[in-house]
Amino acid sequence: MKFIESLKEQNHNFKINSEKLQQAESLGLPNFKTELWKNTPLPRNIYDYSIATHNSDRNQPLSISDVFVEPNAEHYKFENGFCQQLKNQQFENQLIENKIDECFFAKDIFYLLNKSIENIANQFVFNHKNEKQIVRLDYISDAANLELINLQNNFVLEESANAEIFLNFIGNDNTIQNNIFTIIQSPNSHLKINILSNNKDSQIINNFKIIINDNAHLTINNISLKGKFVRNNIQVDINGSNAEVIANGFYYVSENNVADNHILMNHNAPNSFSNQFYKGIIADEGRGIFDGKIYVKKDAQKTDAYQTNRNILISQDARIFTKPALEIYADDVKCSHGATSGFLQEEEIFYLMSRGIDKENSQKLLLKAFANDLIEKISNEEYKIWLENQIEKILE
Amino acid sequence: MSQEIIDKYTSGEYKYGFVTNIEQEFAPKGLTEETIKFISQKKNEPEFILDFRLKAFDFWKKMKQPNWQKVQFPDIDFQDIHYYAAPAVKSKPKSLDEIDPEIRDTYNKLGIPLEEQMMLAGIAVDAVLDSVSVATTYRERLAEAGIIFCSISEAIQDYPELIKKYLGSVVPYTDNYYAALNSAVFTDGSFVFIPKGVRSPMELSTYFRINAAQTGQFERTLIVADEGAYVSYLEGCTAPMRDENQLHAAIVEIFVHKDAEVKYSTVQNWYPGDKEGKGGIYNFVTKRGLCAGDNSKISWTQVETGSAITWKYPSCVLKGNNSVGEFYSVAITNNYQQADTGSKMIHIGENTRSRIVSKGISAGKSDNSYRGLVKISKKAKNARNFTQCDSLLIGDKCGAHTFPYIESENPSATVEHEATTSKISDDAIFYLNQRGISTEDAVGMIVNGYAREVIMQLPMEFAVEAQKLLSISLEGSVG
Repeated sequence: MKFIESLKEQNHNFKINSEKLQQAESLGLPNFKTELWKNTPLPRNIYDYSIATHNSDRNQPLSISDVFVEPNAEHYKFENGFCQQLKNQQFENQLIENKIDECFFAKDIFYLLNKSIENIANQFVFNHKNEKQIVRLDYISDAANLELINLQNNFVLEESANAEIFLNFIGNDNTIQNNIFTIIQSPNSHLKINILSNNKDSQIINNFKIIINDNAHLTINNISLKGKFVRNNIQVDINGSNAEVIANGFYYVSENNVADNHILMNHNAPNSFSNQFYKGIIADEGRGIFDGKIYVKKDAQKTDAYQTNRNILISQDARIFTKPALEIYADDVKCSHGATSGFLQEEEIFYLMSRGIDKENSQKLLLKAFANDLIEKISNEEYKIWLENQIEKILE
Repeated sequence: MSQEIIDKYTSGEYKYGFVTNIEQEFAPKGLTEETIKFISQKKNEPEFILDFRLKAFDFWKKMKQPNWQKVQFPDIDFQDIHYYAAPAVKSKPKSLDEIDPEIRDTYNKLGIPLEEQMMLAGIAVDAVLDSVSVATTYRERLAEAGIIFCSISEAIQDYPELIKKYLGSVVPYTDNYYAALNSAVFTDGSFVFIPKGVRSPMELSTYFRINAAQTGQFERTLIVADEGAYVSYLEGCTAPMRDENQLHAAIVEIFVHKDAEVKYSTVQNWYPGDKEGKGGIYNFVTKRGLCAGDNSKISWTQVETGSAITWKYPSCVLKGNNSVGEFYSVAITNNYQQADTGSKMIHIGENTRSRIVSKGISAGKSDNSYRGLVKISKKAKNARNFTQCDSLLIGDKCGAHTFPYIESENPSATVEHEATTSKISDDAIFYLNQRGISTEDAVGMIVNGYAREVIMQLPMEFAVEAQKLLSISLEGSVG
């Protein structure tokens, strides 16, 4: 594996944790027998990727397009893993370091590879009380050679902070972004994370580890509309009571692309609420993967946890693999999950056609309605309208 | 719900723990080629069966024990098991009266007296006691209809061409670790063949018993329904109390031709181990049916109350167009029992339909998992699946889990899955209390209502038994 070799060489500025690198190397690449990669084919030519550095060639820089521009947001731009406005460094954050490796993707080569580089982290702290802080981060990868881009971002919300984060992923098909996001929410904090992949060539592996405490509210809007390979691993540890987590997801998969969503909702404390709601449309030879789990620890009584995954296949060669799982060790809980996979109902199309709408438009209308069911849950009005327009464009 | 009642419900003891003292003939402990040859020779088997066994054994040696399932148990020493044990009966009994009275007494204690079963229910019982069939009843009436219902060792002697054709056709010995082991050392089991267009005049039934200490029981059941045939097959299990864990690695194969239907019902209450989780049966079973022809149907119904570890996934391969697969299950775990059970529905043919209803009830310190796969292959146009799996938790020390895998490769297929987990609500108990029903009865009533959808699928006589089993499993007389 070239990316491992390129880290072993000494001509870079990375601080290497050789123990982790060793672990990554001995683990090797996952295959269809690896539970977390069972239905997910790896990006092509994965063996030939090296690690991106400061001096990566960029002969055709990508411009930022097709992202939602939030006017009030602080804006940061990461180019091949580096942000000119910020200095990459190593953070000694006890809270983060103690907990971060307890996640379901910890034994994954990409995660270990990223963690084996120690000085590539940036940290954002949100500490304004009673005032919403909005941040927009654009992650651009446009190296000319096959390169794997590693990046770590930490977000810390202090008590009673209120924040909204926009994460936009833009890349060419030479690069794979391999990102780790660590998010700590202190008690009474509110956070919205908007994850968007809306670039047709990008290949992205995102690992999110989120820890939330008492009375904290978290909303995740995880949207992938375009992208060759988009994988989002999300683990939320609910370590406090009265916390609320809402995870919305929508994926549209076309051509022979892959959209892969893994999510684990860990209820470690009593009296919390979570709801996962993922919808997907799979077209062409696309492949959609949803693997969600609700885990309720023994003492997490009075937990309410729900999970729904709905899929529509609109082509002969489309495929969906879904695994909604429950693992429950407390008895006084309300948990449910549901998953469906189907197609557009003949009756519904007939209904619309009998009212004078042609078949193609009827189908479009129904697909749009299917997507809007989810998009409607987004509370940021402008972002919602923008997304609806984007989806309309895709369905054309 | 008060702690007292939970304790009462979860502290049941096993009623059927006793050992029948009859002389037994053992194969030496351990698994080698010699053991397999010994079994084969003892059973006077033709060459092709021995070949089949040896091939399976070769394959098994190369395999590793699977570890993906959500159960925990110490490593099994496969060399520390007797692979053959048979009551040392000199000649085969010709009628029920010739059967060892002690064996018959054993069945009486289990509440399934053969005579009564025969007379009242009109069921033919092929009772299996540790590997060798001791009583086959009602054979004549079945023979009149052209139905073959006998032990698999007899079938190997009498119908080698059928065995050759169907053995391993649904579950090949390469399928999994325990299937390979079973194929190498299977000792007995049942064989059913329903010829073209015949509806079986009665329900066929087998009671399995594991008797000898340290004997792994390796049953092999093969059911073949030819075109347009119908049969309902019942399997029930009990095993005596013993400290060592006993391994039970069976295979059930069902082969269904065009327009035929097979209904397979199981009530399983193997010894689950004592309250500390000591002893009990390891039940690692491969059950699979193949709907080979068009318009065929397989229906699995199971009520699982026993075994220290249950690990089985009755599956349907829906190959014929318009074929139907069904799976109804109630699994109760108590004390330290672990169950990892569910179903697989593989849709291959067009317009295939399947339905899974699974109800899990966990109590004590047990773990109860549903694990299922619904796979719609590319050719399965208009396939339809509905899955419902609910879990009920009694007490706060147990766990209930759901791991459904759904894979769809056809846009015209509809797959639905839903699951819930909850405890018995205080409101429901309060409602019944208000009407003068004690909390204990209320719990029994609610559990029975909860499992009703599945119990209703069982044949009548079985349903009554299962209902009883369900309440006593929780009430505290049967574990």
